[in-house]
Amino acid sequence: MANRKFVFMQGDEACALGAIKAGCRFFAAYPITPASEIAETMARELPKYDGAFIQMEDEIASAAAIVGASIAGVKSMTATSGPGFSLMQEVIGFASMAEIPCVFVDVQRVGPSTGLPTKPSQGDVMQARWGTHGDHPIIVLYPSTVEEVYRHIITAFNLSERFRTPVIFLMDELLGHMRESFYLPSDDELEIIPRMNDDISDEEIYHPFGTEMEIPNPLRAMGKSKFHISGLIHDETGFPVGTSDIASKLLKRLENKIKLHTDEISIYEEYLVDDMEILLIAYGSVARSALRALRIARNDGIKVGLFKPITIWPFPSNRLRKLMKNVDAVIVAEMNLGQIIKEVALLRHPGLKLEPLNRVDGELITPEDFLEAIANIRLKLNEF
Amino acid sequence: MQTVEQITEPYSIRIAGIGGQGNILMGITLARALTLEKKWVVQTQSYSAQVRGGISYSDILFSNYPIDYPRTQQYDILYIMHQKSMEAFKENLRVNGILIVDQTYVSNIPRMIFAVTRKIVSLPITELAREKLNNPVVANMIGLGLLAKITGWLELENLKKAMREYVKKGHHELNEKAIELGFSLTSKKFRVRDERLKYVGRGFE
Repeated sequence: MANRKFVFMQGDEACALGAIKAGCRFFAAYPITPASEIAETMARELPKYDGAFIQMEDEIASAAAIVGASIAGVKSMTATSGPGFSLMQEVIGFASMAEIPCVFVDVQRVGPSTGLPTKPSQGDVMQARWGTHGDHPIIVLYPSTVEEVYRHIITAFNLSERFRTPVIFLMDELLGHMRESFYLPSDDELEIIPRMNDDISDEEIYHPFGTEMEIPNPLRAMGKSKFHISGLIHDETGFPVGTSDIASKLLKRLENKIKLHTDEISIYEEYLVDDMEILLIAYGSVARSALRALRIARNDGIKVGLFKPITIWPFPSNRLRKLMKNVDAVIVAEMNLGQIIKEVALLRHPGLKLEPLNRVDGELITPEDFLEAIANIRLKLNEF
Repeated sequence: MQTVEQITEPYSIRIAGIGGQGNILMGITLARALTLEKKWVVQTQSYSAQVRGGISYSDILFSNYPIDYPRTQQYDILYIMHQKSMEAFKENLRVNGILIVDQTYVSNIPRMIFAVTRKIVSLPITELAREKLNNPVVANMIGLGLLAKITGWLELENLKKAMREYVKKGHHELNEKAIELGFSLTSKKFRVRDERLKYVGRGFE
C-alpha cells in the first residue's frame, strides 16, 4: 500500500472523482438531494480536465445530453435520485436500443415522489432493472463503501464501453452523504477501457452495429465519421428496417450480449460461506450491517455466511444457486418492501426457509435487526 | 478458508445542535483531522428539510481497523450545542462517556445524565466566541479545540490543517484562534473508554 494515498472523501465526491478517473469528460444533470454533491464536484473538477459540465433544465434533458455527448465520442455521465431517475427512463430505452455507452447514477432516497429527501432507501432496485420500456438489457452496480464507489464507478464505465450499453450505478443517501477514509487505488491497479476517438478514413466502412460474439463494434465518434444510429429496429448499418426477423434477431442479441457474459459482469463478495448454515443476502449500505451481524453471530458459534452482490443486474443467479444448495435458511435484507427477494425466491430449493428483512423508515437496517432475524429463523429451523 | 475477525467497536462521537450552528462542518473537520492521524473514519450526518432550526447532528466513528457498520446506538462522546438536541439524545450516551455542552444554549442538563457519567464539561462556548473573538460563528471551532484537549486524540496542528481544507481562506486566522482558545479552556483530561479487564479471574495465574 506504499504508493496508495490515504484519503477522506464523501460518497458522492468519490463517485464524481472516480468517473473523471475513468475518463468521463461530460456531465449533465439537474440538482436533487442526495445527488447534488456529485454535480457540485463535477462542476468544480471537470473544467480542470477540459471536460464540460452543464446544468440542464430537467432530468429528461440531462439524460438526452449525455447520450448525445457519448455519440459524439465523449464518455459521459449523469446523476440523480429516484424522482429524476423516473424521468430519465425514456432515454435509457433509447440508449439500450442504440447501444450507447453512458452511466446513470441514482442515489436513492425514500420514495415514491419527494418522499424523505435526506433518508436512504433501496426502493429503485427494480426501477433500475425494468424502469424503461421494452425488453432491454441493463447492467446495474451497487457498491457499499466509499472505496467501492470510487473503484466501481470506474468498473461501470468500463462495462458500458465493453458492452456498449447504459450502465446504472446505484447508491443510497447514506452512502452518498457518508464521508469515509480509505486507501485510494493507485493508477496501476486500475484498468480503464478507452473510447475510440480516431477519424474513420474515406476508404473504411464502419458498421456501428456490426457484431462479434454478440457484442457490437466499439462506438466511433459521430462528427469525425458519418454513420447512422436509430431507436427503430435497425440492421448493422444502423438504418431502420421494418422486418420482423431482424427485430427478433436484434432483441435477442441485445438480451444475450449481457446474459451470456453474466459471469464476466458479476462482481460479488462472499464471507464465510464454506461452512454456513444460514445465508445472509444484502447489498449496498445494508451489507455493512450484515457484516457486523455476521461477526457477532460467528463469535457466538452460529454458522452464518454473507453474500454481497455488487452487480445487482444481471442477477448473479448461478453463483447464488450453488451457495443456496447447502444452507437451510436465507435472509434477504433490503431497505424496501422486498424487491431482490423475488429473484432469490426463483432459486430456492424445496425445504429452504426464505425470510425477508425489510425497513422503509429511512433508517439503515441495524446489526440487531439481523441478529433478531437470525434468532427467529433458528427457532423455526429447530421446530421439528 | 476465511476466518472470523474480532469485533472492535469503533470510538464514536455525536455532535448535535440545531441547523445553522455549524455542527456538520465541525464533524467533517474532526473526521478529517482523525484521518490525518491515520485512523479509519466514517462520518455521517442527519438534518431535516428546513435549513435552520431543526435538530441536526453529525456522527463520527473512528478506529484503528476498517469500519464495517457505519452507525452506532451508544456514543463515547456527546457534544451538545442546543437544549433541543440535549433532550433528543440524552439516552444515547454510553455509560462513563463524556458529555460536553455549550452552556449558552443548554441551560438544563437532564438528571438522568448524572447517573450515566461524571465526565461532564459545561462551558459557555458561544458566549466566549462572542466576547473573545467577536464572532459567535466560530463556537464550533472552539468546541473542536476543547474536544481535542479533553480526549488527547488529536494534534492541534492536524486539527488546524483539517479546518483549512473546509474553511475559506479569509477566515483561517479567526478559526485557528478559535481552536487554540478551545484548547486552552480546560486542563481536564478524560479517559474516553475504560478498557475492561481482559482476563477475568485474577489470582489464578
